[in-house]
Amino acid sequence: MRASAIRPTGVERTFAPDEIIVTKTDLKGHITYANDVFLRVSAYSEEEVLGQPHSLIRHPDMPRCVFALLWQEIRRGREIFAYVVNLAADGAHYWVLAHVTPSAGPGGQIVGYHSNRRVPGEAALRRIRPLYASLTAEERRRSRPADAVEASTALLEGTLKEHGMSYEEFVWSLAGQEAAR
Amino acid sequence: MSLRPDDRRAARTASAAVTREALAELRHELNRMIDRMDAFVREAAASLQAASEGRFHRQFLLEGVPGSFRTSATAINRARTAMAGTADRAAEAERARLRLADELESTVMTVAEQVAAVQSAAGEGTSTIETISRTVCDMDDLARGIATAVDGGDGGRAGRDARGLADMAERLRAEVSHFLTVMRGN
Ligand SMILES: Cc1cc2nc3c(=O)[nH]c(=O)nc-3n(C[C@H](O)[C@H](O)[C@H](O)COP(=O)(O)O)c2cc1C
Repeated sequence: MRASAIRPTGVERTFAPDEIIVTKTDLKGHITYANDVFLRVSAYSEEEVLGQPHSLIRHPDMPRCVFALLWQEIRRGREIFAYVVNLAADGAHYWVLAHVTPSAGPGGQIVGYHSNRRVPGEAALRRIRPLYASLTAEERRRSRPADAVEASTALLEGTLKEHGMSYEEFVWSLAGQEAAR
Repeated sequence: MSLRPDDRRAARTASAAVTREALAELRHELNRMIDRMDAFVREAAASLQAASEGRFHRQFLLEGVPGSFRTSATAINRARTAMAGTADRAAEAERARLRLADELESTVMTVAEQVAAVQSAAGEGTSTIETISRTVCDMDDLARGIATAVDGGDGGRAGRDARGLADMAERLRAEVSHFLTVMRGN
């Protein structure tokens, strides 16, 4: 697949504070809608992304445990905020503060997922980058993906406990500064 | 001046391209409008839901919420702060939230469905950008109205707020269907 062939160039890309990157997926995480900002920042055409798994833009620096937590929460019908670095088709990367929510059908059942992404604040990224680096380092010490997720999840939970915060409180301790901006 | 067949074909191709471009821009414009509404509804619903559950650290994110939507978002954030102190007002906001989410979400759904229908039936579609900007202006009005309602200058009675919101959503819905009639050209 195209995603695995893309090598990160280290070039960072960003978008305007008043823009939002929007995608929607089916229950399996396959893209059903992408807005023009997503296409521009990710350097893909609409035809290239529709129907593709969202891991199309997965960046190797993203810890697995963050996605594990994301899926756990949205499958339970809950929202989640996460700082995510994504890989564009041309090898550039871009950071977002993603808000992922389930979309409910008329009967209240989950029919798909939705993500709005904003440009994150630099102060938040200064905290996130080293945390993610330690989480991915922990994962790379394990050869099996399942062991890797388990190990980094334990490290994340330990770090949060040290700070006396839940994951949600931690994200908001960073994103709250942005809400107030 | 009369055109040779070659010129005529070229002119037709050029005008088809212009129409295609206009349609593509139109689609993005509509999508932006729907995404903006959708983001606002999800944020409003989730941040007030969190507040009503006592999770006061969860704020209304202002990033990506432009113009008068931002005024409502700020008002909701203020309400959230105030609610942190009073359980009473949490219940009040919960009622307003449910009403707001229902009204706005169904409006968004209506727009989305009808736009999809129009798109598949399309063929026309020039000169509608102007109509769209007007609809977007109306949505800004709606958002301003919500800001006032949520702020509730005289104490913000939940019942009155909800009725105000419903009226505004109804006005918007009427605008949208008018706009779609224009778009369909009938
Ligand atoms: C609505 C939604 C949006 C998502 N957005 C992203 C995204 O922007 N970047 C990303 O890498 N994964 C995103 N994911 C998660 C992917 O589905 C996937 O779990 C992740 O890329 C990890 O891929 P992997 O399991 O193949 O390693 C999203 C999932 C959903 C449901």
